[in-house]
Amino acid sequence: MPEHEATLRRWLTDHRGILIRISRAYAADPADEEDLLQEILLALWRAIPSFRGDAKPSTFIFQVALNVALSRKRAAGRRPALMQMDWTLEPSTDGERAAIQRLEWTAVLRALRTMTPVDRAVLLLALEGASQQEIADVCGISVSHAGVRLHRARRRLSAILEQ
Amino acid sequence: MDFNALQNIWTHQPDPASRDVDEVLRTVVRRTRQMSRRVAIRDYVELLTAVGMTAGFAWMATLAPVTWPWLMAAAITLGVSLVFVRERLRPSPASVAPGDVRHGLQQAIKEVDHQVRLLGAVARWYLAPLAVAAVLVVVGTALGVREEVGPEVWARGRAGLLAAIAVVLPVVGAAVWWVGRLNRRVVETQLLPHREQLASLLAQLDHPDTEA
Repeated sequence: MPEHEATLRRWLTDHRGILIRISRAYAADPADEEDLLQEILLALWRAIPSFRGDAKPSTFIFQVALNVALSRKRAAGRRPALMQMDWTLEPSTDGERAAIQRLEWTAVLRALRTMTPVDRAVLLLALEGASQQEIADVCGISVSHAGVRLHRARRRLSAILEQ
Repeated sequence: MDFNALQNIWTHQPDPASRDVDEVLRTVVRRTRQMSRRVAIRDYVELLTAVGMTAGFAWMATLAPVTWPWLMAAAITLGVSLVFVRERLRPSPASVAPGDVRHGLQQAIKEVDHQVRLLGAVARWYLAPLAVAAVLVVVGTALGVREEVGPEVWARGRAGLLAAIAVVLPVVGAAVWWVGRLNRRVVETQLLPHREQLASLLAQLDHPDTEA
């Protein structure tokens, strides 16, 4: 158990941002984001014994987190993604630069959330710096297929952001 | 805006709660333990109930005059208990090690199918046989009473007993039907839509033009 805890501590220290951003990309609203993050953390804890170390921890974390995000039952009665509470509407006390950054990532988040869950996963991985090989490994598709998907998704993301 | 700039924006989001790693870790460990405890208690209670029911029927069968309905009721209850124990001890598809997204979706579909099968089996394999066993117990008791009281007394009380059976049968039948209906509703309103959603995601993975 201490080894188990040490592994999760290390992963949380190094990759906490990935978990938060995946939760944010798939959650319906900020409250759901917290629920999804907890589900992912619990799944990660349970999955630790199956981590053999032959893949990068980030690849393993992506797999577990995306599996939870994609497989969870979408809550009935929730409004469609774009009708949800906007993260930018939360009161902000940070400076002008931070406020601009916040607007920028909210625009990216909004654009991501108009995409199909699978395209969102591919783009998320690319935005997190994953290579095509890694995207293919995480999604369980061929490298060429990952390349085609990523190309289309990037084009679509750019088009949405330019609107 | 080029993709590198988007990556930069995306990876520099604030953490709204600025969570402390130790606190997160403690929460995860606590919630995992709570869940494991809840599942273990549920499994033990269900297993003990199954074993207890079987033992109870066996004991009652030794007290009553052993007639064919009693033997059949005991055999049915024992069978139901054994099926239940076997299902409980079988690992669920969810306990398989994680893999890529395709594997994850396939596993999630298997898990939903497993739940659909279990809910479908409750009425057919658990409640209906137990209802038959309950009716057999009533019949077995009636046959025992007939032997004890003799034909004359039996003839006078027979109408009352038949009336009691006539009341019990529809009540048991209605209970089985109602539980079956509740389960079908869960399958139709929750599990099958979830399965469709998972199958659609799996299709999207193979065919980029498939809509969600």
